[in-house]
Amino acid sequence: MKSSLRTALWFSIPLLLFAIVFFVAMRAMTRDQLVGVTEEPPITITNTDSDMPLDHSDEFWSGIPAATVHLWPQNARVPYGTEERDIIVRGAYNDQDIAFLLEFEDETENREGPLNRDACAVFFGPADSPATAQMMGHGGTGNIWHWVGDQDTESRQAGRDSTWAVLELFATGPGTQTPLAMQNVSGRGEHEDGRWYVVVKRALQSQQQDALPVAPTEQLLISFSTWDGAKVEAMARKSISIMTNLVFEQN
Amino acid sequence: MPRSISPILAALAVICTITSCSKSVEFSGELVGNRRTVEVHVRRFAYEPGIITVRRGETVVIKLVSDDVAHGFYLFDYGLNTYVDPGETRIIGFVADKPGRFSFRCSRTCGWMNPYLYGYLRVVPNRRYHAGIALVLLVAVGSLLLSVRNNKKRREFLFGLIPLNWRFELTKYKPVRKLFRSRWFPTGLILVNLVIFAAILISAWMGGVSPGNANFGVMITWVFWWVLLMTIFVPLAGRFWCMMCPFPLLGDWIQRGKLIGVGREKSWGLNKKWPKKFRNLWPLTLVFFVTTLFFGFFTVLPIATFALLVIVVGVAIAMALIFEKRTFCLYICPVSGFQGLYANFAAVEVRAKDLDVCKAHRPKTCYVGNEDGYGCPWLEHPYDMNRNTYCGLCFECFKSCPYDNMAFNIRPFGTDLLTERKRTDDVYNRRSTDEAFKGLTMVGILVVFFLVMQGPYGWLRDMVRVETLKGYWQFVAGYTAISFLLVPGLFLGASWLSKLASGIRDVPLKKVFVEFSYCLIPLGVARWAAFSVAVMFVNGSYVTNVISDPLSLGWNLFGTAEPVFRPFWTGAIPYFQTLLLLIGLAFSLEYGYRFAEKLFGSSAAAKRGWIPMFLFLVGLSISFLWLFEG
Repeated sequence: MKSSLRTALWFSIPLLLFAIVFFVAMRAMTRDQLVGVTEEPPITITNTDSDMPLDHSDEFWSGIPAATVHLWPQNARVPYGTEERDIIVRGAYNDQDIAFLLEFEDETENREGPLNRDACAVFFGPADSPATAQMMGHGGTGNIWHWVGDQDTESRQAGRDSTWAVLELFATGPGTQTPLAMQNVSGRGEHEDGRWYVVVKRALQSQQQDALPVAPTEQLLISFSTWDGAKVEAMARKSISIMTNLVFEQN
Repeated sequence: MPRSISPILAALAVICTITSCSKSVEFSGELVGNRRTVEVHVRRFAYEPGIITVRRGETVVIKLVSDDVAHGFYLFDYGLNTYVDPGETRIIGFVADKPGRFSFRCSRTCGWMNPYLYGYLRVVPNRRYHAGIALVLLVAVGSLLLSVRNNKKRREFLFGLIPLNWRFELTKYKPVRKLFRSRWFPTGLILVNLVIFAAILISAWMGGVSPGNANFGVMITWVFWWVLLMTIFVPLAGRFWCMMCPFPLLGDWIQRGKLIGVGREKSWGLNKKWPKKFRNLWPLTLVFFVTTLFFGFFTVLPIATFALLVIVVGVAIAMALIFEKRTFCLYICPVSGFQGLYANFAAVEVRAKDLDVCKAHRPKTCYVGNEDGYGCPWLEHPYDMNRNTYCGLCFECFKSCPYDNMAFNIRPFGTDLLTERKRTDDVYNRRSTDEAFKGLTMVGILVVFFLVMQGPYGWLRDMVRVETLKGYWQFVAGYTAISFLLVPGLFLGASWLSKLASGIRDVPLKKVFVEFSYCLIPLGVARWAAFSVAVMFVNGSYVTNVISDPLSLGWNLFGTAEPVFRPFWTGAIPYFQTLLLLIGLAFSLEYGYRFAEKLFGSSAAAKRGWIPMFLFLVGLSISFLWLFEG
């Protein structure tokens, strides 16, 4: 009887241990955090008479108020994002152009693509868009300004204007991103002290088909997203913000 | 008193059956004119309500609202498919012109448990289900009519048609015999499987915690392999998978020192013997059950599939170093137990051709081995083996027999169920409670598998995926209670009633319980096949996706890499399931009455004693019919 019990224990204890380890590991790995449905404050951008430089270190940007925007792991489409982040957004416009400076933490600078590159994007959609929670809900048409690190290198920029680093896209839902015929968004990203500073800029009005006017006369929603190449974030695996109203500060 | 029990039970059963068919129905949503509007909320991983009940001919309008992420709504057999985004409402309209129960499933990958996000549309009256019950009753009545014929033909012929001792020896053909004697068989097959297994491990590792729909490891293991195992391998050929399983290959290699040829006689490992008390199906039952506590993870999550497979292979190697031969396969491997038990139903067997030749042969090379083959790795005695439970179809006995006295036969289904062990020195390979419980726990396990994987209850999926710790422990407690207490308890009750009705007092209840448990095997094989058919028809299209890009590297080898949810033949699933249940029931009843005769001796006592068990089997079949179609 005693030996049977001992044998049973020898059999059961490893089985139990395996079961516990398996359980704990699986439970830890499957806790995902969904995008919260929250009321986000609007993003207000400053009206200016100055030129808006692509150089983030220019004195101009230090005079522009900053807003902190929370990014959630994207969870509308697989592969889901995994990271929560905060980014700092500065926005300004003048008679001609509109520009944003996005500042976010990223330990490593990744400019090799396309699956391992750092990137960020700004999404604009009409205020009556059905996509009210996350970037590009079904049927939510809009424009995306997608800055990608692997395109923003000195060798690629040589002899070209700075629109090379930013893709200007039109989309009507996930997987429908289509580059516009003319690429009119310029941009420049610099990595300093574990942070990315990315400036994107375009004319307020755009005459080409599918390009959304991003001007004080428009009622727009805006959201932001980032990809960390070191964490193999690409395509839908990203962090995104909740869509919110874009407010143009008036003089 | 005993004589009056059977008619009472029969009358009760008839009342229950009629009541289950005529139960009042609660319809969903609001009906205005002929238009029924139902608001359905979908979240990960539940539709609410999970069951939509409408009347045949009504125009159904479903307002589908996603409460969290993007979801889909694919209504089988009606050919409807739509998507809904977070916070959005979609309107789906159709005329419910087909009666029956139809599953709807999320057709957009919404997370790791996406394949289990099911709901049901019930279009009443559910004539298909009622017809199924009528067919079950027809089979039952037919079986009763057959069993009252007390003649030699009924006793010696299956269904009065097929002689129970009929055998067709496949190895009488020289090429087959040559193949079985070749040292490359079945190792060659195992090596091919090893390559596939390596791809499964790599892709499952790379897949991490992403949903398994697009993962080669998850799809090949849990859709392709599992379905093949439960619908073809086990029902037709028993332990056919064991023949080509790559898990024990490394352990064998370590023990033998050679991969293909015959190596050292003594194992490199410690060569310990497995404790006598555990030489039965109990350890296998326990390991399988504990493993299934996590099926909500490993059947859908690549990393969990990886972890499970690595643990199984690791334990297989470790056991090969400690214990003799294939101890791992015999007593630990999670999928060995039910294969062994259900192999008794299979239509093939390995047996000695002429027992007298074996009797005279010393030493028994099929057991101890010689220069041409190893002694049975499964520790069987091939020279007098008469049941499939512990025969792994490795064909070593064909190689080591100098008299070419082994045969591979095709036979009528289930003849092992009637067989007792012949050897008196055999401590483990006998009919006992371990095999009875294995068969009974497989009933509860299937019920829970079905409800979680293809059922409409989101709360159950929340429990299985550990939404809360409390919920998970409730699941573990409930699942254990159903598998080890409720089903065996009900069966014990039926066994007790059988004994009581027979009027034979000196038959131990344990013997009645164990003996009758074998008539659950055909029905068990059929139930699992019926469940697995739906897995393949619904998820099979993912298999075509993943073989085109097995390592998720962006390949498109066969032009089918795009991960689109394309179920096929979903309209045929209920018919397949009914057919399989009917076949299983017919075999269960056919063998069950023979057990009653064996237990209770006289024909009259057997007939009386058979009624409670007969009703239990018919009730079980109707219960599963309800589960699948009701």
